[in-house]
Amino acid sequence: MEDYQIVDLYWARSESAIEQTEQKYGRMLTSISNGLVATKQDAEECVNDTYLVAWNSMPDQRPIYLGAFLSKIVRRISITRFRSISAEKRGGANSLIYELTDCVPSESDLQSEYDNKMLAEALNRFLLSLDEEKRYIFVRRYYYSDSIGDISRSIGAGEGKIKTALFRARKALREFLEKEGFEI
Amino acid sequence: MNSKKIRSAEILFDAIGMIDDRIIAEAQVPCRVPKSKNAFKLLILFSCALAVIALTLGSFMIANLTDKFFPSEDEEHLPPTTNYESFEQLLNSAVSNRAATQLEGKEINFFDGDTKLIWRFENESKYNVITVSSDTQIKQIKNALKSSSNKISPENADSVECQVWIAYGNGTVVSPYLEDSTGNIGCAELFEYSPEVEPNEDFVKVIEEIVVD
Repeated sequence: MEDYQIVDLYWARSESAIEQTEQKYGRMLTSISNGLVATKQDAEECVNDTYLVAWNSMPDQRPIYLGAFLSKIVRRISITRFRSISAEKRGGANSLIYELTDCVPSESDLQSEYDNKMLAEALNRFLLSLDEEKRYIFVRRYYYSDSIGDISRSIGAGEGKIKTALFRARKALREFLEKEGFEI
Repeated sequence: MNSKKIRSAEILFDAIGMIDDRIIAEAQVPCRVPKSKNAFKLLILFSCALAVIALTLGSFMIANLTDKFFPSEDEEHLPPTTNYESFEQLLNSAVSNRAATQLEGKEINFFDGDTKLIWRFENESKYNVITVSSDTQIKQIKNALKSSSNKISPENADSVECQVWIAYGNGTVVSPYLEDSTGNIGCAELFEYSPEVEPNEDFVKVIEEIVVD
């Protein structure tokens, strides 16, 4: 079923909207959440919370890219869940955040200088400056929280290549953020 | 690790969650690495290169083999290097193996359209004649006579024991012992001359081919 048809179901307050959503995006949402939280149970709960948020969001909202809309919800929920758990029990998001320290250009505190919206816009520009393959690898890793192995299997490249691409992308992002005005 | 840095990285991580929907949607579809395409391209290039090399070598070999087993009279290849110590020895062999016809001077027709190699040793009354029937050989003779030759000094001129002419069948008569010039062209006669040059190697090779055949 096409995205707009599923959104129509939400707008029509049809219960099959959730069923169709789960059928089309359930695996993707679970995968994202699994990469961020500690346990499968937590991931399951995050995905169920996502369906509730989606149901409450539509109508009013009519997203063009339903998959992107839902993935943002599950990601936000999963990160919140991740942070609410004690440090010892935190899941895969820890490793992703640690990797992203490579991208922070200085000792400066990002929160104090820029709000997240400006940062997101800068990230958009950065990602669009990458070629399709590099952009895919970066987004799969840091947005979809895919493992290196998953990314390598999905594009048919070796893990070494994926790691190298991510390393270079992080370095390029750091340089980009510095050029955009983040202090060194 | 600096806690400020980790905090900044967390903020960056959150901000990644707010990137454009189109970028997120694009990444839903796997982006296959076209390495096999590159490998395929390389394979095609390599195959083409091999094919070109094989064709070139093959053409070269075929041309040489064809030359050897199916000599074409239209080809302007030169005969093998002479096996005779001298041009005169070559001409002698043509007489001994009856490759040449012996004629009186008046029996030679200068206007029958046939190119003839004609020679006479000292103290001989008759002329030795070989008709050159191959157009290729005629062309080679003409080219050879235009090429440079080693000069014969006047004091050595008497050492040449035979006189040689080429009659082209249209009345024109020249000699390989004379330099290529209009002054050295005779008409319908086997003129006497004092040798100026040695027959060059190209000319000798053609004659050897004719004599051996």
